[in-house]
Amino acid sequence: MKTSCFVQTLGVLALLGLSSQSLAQTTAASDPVGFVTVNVPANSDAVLAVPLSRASVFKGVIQSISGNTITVAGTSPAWTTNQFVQALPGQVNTYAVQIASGTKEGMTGKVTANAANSVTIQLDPAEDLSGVQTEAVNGAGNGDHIDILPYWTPASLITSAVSNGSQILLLEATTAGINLSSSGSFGFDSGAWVDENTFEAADHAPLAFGRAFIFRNGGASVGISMAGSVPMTKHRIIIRSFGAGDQDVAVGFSSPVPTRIGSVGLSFTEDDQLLVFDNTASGQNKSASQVLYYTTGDGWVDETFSPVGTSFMLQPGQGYIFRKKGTGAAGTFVWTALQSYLAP
Amino acid sequence: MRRLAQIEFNNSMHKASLFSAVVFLFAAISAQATVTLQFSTASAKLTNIQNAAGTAAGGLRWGIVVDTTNNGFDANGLNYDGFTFPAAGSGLFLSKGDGSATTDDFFYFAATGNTTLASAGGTDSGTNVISQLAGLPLSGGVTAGDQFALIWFDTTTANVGDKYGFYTDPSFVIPNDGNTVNFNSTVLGPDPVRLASNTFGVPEPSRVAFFALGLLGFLARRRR
Repeated sequence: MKTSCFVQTLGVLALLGLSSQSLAQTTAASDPVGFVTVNVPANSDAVLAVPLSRASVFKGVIQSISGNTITVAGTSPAWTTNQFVQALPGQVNTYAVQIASGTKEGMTGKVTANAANSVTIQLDPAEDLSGVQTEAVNGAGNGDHIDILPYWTPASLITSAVSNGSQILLLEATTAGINLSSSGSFGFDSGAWVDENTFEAADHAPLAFGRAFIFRNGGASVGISMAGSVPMTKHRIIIRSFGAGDQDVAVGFSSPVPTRIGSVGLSFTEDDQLLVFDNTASGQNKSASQVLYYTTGDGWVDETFSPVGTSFMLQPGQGYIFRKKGTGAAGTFVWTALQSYLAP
Repeated sequence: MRRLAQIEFNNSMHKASLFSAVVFLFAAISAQATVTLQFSTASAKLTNIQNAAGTAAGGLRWGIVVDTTNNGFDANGLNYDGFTFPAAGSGLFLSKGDGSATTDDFFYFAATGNTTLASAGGTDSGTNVISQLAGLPLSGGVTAGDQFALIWFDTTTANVGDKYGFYTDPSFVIPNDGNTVNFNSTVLGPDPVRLASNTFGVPEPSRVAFFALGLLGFLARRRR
């Protein structure tokens, strides 16, 4: 499959400047930016995942934590109450707090409320704020960093001109099993996205971090360009199985550059699988074009059992199905990895 | 597949049970594939699914009926017996009142959040829209290639005497596992009004019980 990957470095100077600033409180900082384009054939499916982030609106240090409420350090940012909570039609964004350092780096939580210098977040049930360091407990200069950034939405992500009838098929697994169909969908019609279950407006519906979805092209071939900020924190998502058997989870890797599969820590159990889809092939409901297997002895191997840990590249913009081998009980696994360009 | 409960039909003349059903819960299956059926999308909607009176009363429940052996819907779907509504996300095999106990027609009630009809604007707008059924498990006799039909209910129950609607199309076929399919070509454009015009009947053994009760009454009057 071919993916055009062109990471622009317009924000390099901003990045260098950021590193020299005090991070007690920083607003509207600039990370490197870029774009990734995936070409989708006419009337066909493409399994996609977003490799870039939307620009952060705040970067700071954690002063203290109480429950799921994070208070930031330094001069009060003087936020307006609940400015980070979606309030249509005026405030269209749903925001997340992302832990940007420490043992929980990459963990994200949806902002459910905020005051002048604090945010309350909702985490995945398998996550919590234990181990996150604060200035109050761990001493001045030792608090972990956070970013506040908006979720991607259909309108903010799909800016290319797409045909009416195009869809975003959500792949949020909520049931045990494999070969799972879509859990819901957003459809594009007359310039707007709608939830095709409720038919409510969905232009600003938040899309989960680190998850793959299917873009179903409703017309002529189109290049889906995803532009945003280069992620400057670790990739981290929860892999959840709902039963004793194998479980499919739609995933993507948060990196705008190709990355060796053997280097991303996506390996938990012998016989875990990665289903790869050819986004250049025409058709809907396509089967996997390649299946990789994880072995404790040789790492990731292909269908011929040849090791591919250093040769198979996770492509930016490409989504995958990770088929977690059943372990006899439901459970959760944390997939965390440092992107190659962030390695010291 | 785990059988949760089987309600035994009791044809005692003293307590005639009206329903006979076997309920399956899909949630207990350890590894299952699913399919998603989209009857309405942003650009094409299945509308005008109405109640027995022909009014666009919202909130009607709906589901699908699957012909699990592909031998045609029993009695063309027009003569099912009443049953106890299963929980959302589960189903049961329907019966019909000709003495043939359960049929091979499987009713599946969509998961919570997708059970009732509402209006929808935009292209192909209309009232009483059947939207989509996501995550239908391929189990309990439901397999790819099976013909299915839409079924909707005049009230929140499926008791004897209640009304229901039944509609199928040659395109209504269960797809392969993992697939999400829409039926745009079937639903695009104005849709005719479809009424909940069928009536849930009484299972045959109950009719025997009622007849027997009536006979007893006759005999009692004669004796007096």
